[in-house]
Amino acid sequence: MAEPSNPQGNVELPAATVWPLVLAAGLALAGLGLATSALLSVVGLALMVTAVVGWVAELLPGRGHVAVPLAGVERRPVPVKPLPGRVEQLRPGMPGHRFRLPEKVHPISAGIRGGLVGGLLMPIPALTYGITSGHGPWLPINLLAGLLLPRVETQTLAELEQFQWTLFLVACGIHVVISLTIGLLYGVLLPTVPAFPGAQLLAGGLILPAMWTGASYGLMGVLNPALREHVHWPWYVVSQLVFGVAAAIVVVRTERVAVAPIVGRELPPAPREDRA
Amino acid sequence: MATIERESHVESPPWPARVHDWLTTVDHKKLGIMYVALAMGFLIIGGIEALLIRWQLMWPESRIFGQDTPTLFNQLFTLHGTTMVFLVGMPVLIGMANYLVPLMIGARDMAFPRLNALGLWTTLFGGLVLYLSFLTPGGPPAIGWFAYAPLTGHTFARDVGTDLWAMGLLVSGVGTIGAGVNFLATILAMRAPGMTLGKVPFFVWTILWTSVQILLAIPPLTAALIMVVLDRQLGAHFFDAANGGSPYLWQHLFWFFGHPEVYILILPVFGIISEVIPVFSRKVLFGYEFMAAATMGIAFIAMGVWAHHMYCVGLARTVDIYFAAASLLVSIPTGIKMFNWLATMYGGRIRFTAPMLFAIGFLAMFLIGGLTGIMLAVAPVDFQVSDTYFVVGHFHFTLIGGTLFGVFAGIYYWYPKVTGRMLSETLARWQFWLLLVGFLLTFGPMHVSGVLGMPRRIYTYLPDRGWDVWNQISTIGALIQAPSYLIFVWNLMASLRSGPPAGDDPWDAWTLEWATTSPPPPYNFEEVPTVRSRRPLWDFKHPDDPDWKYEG
Ligand SMILES: [Cu+2]
Repeated sequence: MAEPSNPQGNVELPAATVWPLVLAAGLALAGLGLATSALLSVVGLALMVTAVVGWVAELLPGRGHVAVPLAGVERRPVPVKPLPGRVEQLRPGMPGHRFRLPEKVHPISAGIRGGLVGGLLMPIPALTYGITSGHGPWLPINLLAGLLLPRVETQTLAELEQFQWTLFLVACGIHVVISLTIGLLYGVLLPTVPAFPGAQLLAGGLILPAMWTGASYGLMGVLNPALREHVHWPWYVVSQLVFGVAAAIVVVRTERVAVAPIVGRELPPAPREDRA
Repeated sequence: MATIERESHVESPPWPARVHDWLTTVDHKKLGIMYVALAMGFLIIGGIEALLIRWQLMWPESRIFGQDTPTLFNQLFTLHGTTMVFLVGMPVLIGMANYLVPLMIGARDMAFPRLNALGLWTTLFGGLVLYLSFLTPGGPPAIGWFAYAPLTGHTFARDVGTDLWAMGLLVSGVGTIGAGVNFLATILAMRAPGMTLGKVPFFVWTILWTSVQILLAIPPLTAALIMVVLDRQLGAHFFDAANGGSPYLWQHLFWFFGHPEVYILILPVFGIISEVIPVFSRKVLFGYEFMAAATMGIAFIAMGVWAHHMYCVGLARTVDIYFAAASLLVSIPTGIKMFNWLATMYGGRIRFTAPMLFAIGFLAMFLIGGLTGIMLAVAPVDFQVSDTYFVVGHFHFTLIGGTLFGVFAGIYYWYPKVTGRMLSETLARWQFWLLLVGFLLTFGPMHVSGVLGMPRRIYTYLPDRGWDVWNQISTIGALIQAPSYLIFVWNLMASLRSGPPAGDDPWDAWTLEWATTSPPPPYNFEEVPTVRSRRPLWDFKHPDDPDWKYEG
């Protein structure tokens, strides 16, 4: 415990001493000598003994301490200025309180509708590809089902071009779930993109589809490389873009609603925010 | 504020007197400054070594030193690792703690001021012994920073460099142990009246547990180093398999030190971050008690996970499973800390000045290092990427992204207290962005080259491995990082003369060190105030609404 200064205005502190430095030098020399030449070790040990003797001598009463005078009045710390009054609690609505961003969002229904519309339009490019390529409309559908059903990758191309009930149902299920999930994500994400004209369309119609297309290309290479061979990627990209643009347009066009304010939650009394 | 002006009028003594003053001082503040200066010096040296390593790896089949490249490369990465861990990481943290702990708990000095001086000098001389190896015929050691047996045996390391490595670490270890004892005694016995252990500043709390780890981890290393010296000098066979010794013994002993060591290097940084984030968010630290418990938890768990560095040795399955589970456990207290820092920032009035910038950099970068650490804790993953550049990437994210970013945050925060001058914000921003970009470019790609199978410590590689581009990005990143360190050192030195005066309390902070002058007088406090809460200065500044009304 630091003792208060004595009446003379002095503080007792340990005096400067060279012995720790000498002891360390001796130790290092002794070590160095062990690896190189014994002579160094002898010198090092001698230094260590000297240092320990000198060090201990300073521990005798009345030695090894000095009285340090207190600094002049002009070099004392500036007294802490107390601010009167209690600390004001930060509450919603006060200037400086963080807004919940964004202030207005699209309703959840907008996301669902966006997903539905996108999901309905997306098959058009996919089927167009099937028909124009000569593989028939069922190939893209069966490939989609292959995401879940591993047996698809063992089928031949000819088999994949046929209509298969289970694959059709599974593909429809996957399509609905993914469309709705991504639609919901659009509803949440699009209001948070920076506010310049066309930004939401750019994000929803191009950037996000590009990201998940890239991700699914990479993932499929790991999970199901056989399937990736069958997919015609340019057309795949087109159908993702169609989904993105359609979903984004639907979401952007819906009226935004204000975020519900937080009600009924009193802040605790403790001063957890410094507004001083 | 007026302090600085007056100081320049005080006659400064002639330089021999000043040098004598610094060489013989037992003042914890001067010793702390010298510790940090020593670390900065070695940081530059270790950085140059790193640049040479990166330059050598920039192109496949390159030989930047001609014929000697393989040996020199081995020596460089040995010195780089040893320097950064023992002569930069620990000294800089011990130095900062040395300066700050007495001030933060309201003490006049450390408990054992002379032992404190001994610690500094052994660290310095230990480093010099290591670097003296450059003057020996065989040059520096070429054994890697963890010096696996039998590489350290006389058969494989015939030159004296390896002996100097062991002796240097032995000597500096003495100082580290002394520092651990000193911190423990100081924190346990010299706190200001009213400051119970539950009310110490968080940095002090982390130093307490770092010291516990120092006392548990460094002695085994010292013992193991003595065994190396005995093997080499007196023909003992501790690590010599041919004569009944065991190289695994070295691995166990080394990592029993080595894993806690990484927490010795990160716990104090957790403390720094826990001081900076509240002050720069204008809020109290969220969940102090949980943070304190998490620190203790990390200190204890970290003592029982060392063999996650040894999965590839071929330990028993049960042992692997235990060490994987124990290592994964560390992520829980660490996660608590991460979330509490974020919760401290949440809703706060954040000031994006230099200390906070680096603290946020720490949060993001250390998170990545922590996540790859979780991956590596899983034994089967480690089987795949052990001893590859993935591991190198991982621990540089924890040691640069974690330790170094945190140290920078702390130095920007406390430099005004130490010198009475503010550091340049402009230079700080240049440093931060260069460091961040360079750092990500250097160590991000290492994860890729590691997964692609590039082993660490190879001095070169064939062009057909697909590693070239990742190594080139890494080297370019290192070149981007390099100036950031120079900017930092320049900032430290230039601001000493020309930085704006700081005043006693430039950040409007809450712990005791800000109650005294900048720089503080030799005796720290004329009279030590009675402490009633974790934020004593807040209580003085807001007498109508003090913290102690709310703290249990
Ligand atoms: Cu470890």
